[in-house]
Amino acid sequence: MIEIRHLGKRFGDLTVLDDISLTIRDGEIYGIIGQSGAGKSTLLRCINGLEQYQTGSIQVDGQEVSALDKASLHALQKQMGMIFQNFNLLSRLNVYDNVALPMRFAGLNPKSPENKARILELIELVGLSDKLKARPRELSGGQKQRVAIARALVLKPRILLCDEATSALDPRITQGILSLLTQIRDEMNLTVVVVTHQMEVVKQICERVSFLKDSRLIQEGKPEELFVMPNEDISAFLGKTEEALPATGRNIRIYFTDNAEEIQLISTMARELNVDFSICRADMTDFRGKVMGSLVLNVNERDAGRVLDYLHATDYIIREDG
Amino acid sequence: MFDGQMWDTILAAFGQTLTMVLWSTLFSVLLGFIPAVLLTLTAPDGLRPNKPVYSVLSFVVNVFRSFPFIILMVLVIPLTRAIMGKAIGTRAAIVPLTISAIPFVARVIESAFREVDPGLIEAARSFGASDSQIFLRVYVKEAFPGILSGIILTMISLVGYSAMGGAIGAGGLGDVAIRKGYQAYKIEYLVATSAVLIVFVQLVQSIGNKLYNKLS
Repeated sequence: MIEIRHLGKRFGDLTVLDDISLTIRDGEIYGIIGQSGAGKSTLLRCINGLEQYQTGSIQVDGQEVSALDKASLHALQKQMGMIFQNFNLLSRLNVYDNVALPMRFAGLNPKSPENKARILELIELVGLSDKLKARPRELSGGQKQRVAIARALVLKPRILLCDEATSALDPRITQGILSLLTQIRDEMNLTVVVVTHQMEVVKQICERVSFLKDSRLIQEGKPEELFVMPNEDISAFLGKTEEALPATGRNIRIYFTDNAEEIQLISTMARELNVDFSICRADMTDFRGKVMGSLVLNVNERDAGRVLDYLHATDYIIREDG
Repeated sequence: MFDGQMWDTILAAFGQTLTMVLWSTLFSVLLGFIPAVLLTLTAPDGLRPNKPVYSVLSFVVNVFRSFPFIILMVLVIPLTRAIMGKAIGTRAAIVPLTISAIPFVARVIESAFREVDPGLIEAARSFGASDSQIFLRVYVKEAFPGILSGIILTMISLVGYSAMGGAIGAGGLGDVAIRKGYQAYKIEYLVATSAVLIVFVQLVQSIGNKLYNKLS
């Protein structure tokens, strides 16, 4: 478990993290999202001690990161694998030796049968058994990130930190890496912390997220809670522009925050109330296999009361839009 | 005009040039590696940032680099005598050549280290590597081809400096070119020594390039 309480960090006069509190539970895939410069990568680096913080506390499994001496910090870092946007593989080492590198740092012999088996097993897990002797420059971006993932797992960490791990990859390759991360979490029971500015990453794998803006934590929750009914800051992050809605009649927005399977609600209502309306907007998103989103109906003034009564009687969240 | 005697002279001189260049390259690399490592470690973005040490060392390196070689050669005569037992001759020239090349080596190796992607250092840190592990397993490993091409560069510039060795009786190709070619006005000596130097430098550079490509 990673517990962050009132964390504050400054670079000189510049505040990069301001009073951040959040808890990352064991075994979950947790997203830290926001625009570039919001402080999310710095937050990640504070978690594994790559960066120091001035105020507040970060406890990883009960250990205060900033209070550790060098040896204890190194020991803790070995329990946290990390992958990066630019992969950060050593260009002069082949795939096998890159994956073996953290073992050398840990004083383990990568040539012992047990360790060798571990390295080969991880390379197989990431699907690169045929590239053992390849140098990074002979690999594609996705393959490099797979090597980096194997390297991050070689010391059997309990936490995997991902810093914009898919930002340099094209969408199809990103899908592959995200499935791999989910698979690894399930098989190894890892805690995965993902820093990203990519919505598809959040939607596909994150179970909970924190949204950071200007060094502050604006909102924390399930992705669907943040994104189905986005507040102003998150709308801006998503790049949602002003919606064009009809000026006449009433605009009623229905949120499907749990499951949009019962979307036929709309046609049932039309039949039962015998009203006509138009659907001006529908915005559905797949969150880890569940479809959620919102829908805007435009209703005649005279039908509005009945429609609202009908909808309020359901479990759905209803808003009247201007 | 290209008679046998000339080639004997040039061959002997080439041997002297080779002696000066190889030994001074070896010593300057060994001795220049130390300030290079210190500069890398204490740089503002290094593993152990230390502004006073970095500034002072950087200043000293610059001072030594700006000394004209011909002056340095004369200034270090007492040291040369102390080390080699004499101040004149091919072996004696190795001392000033080495001293003039040390700061050069320090800079080229430092810049080879600087070329190492900071992301790799960060990755190593994130896996709990100690500073010495990062230095040996990341810096030295990754910078090795760059260091090698820096050594080649040093060697080639030492070929140029060694030409001035004649001033302290070190002989060498430069000395032949000046005394026989220029002062005695035997144009064939000028042509032949230049040709030998050109071929030699080309050879060293292309071997260096091959090694660099093979290693990187």
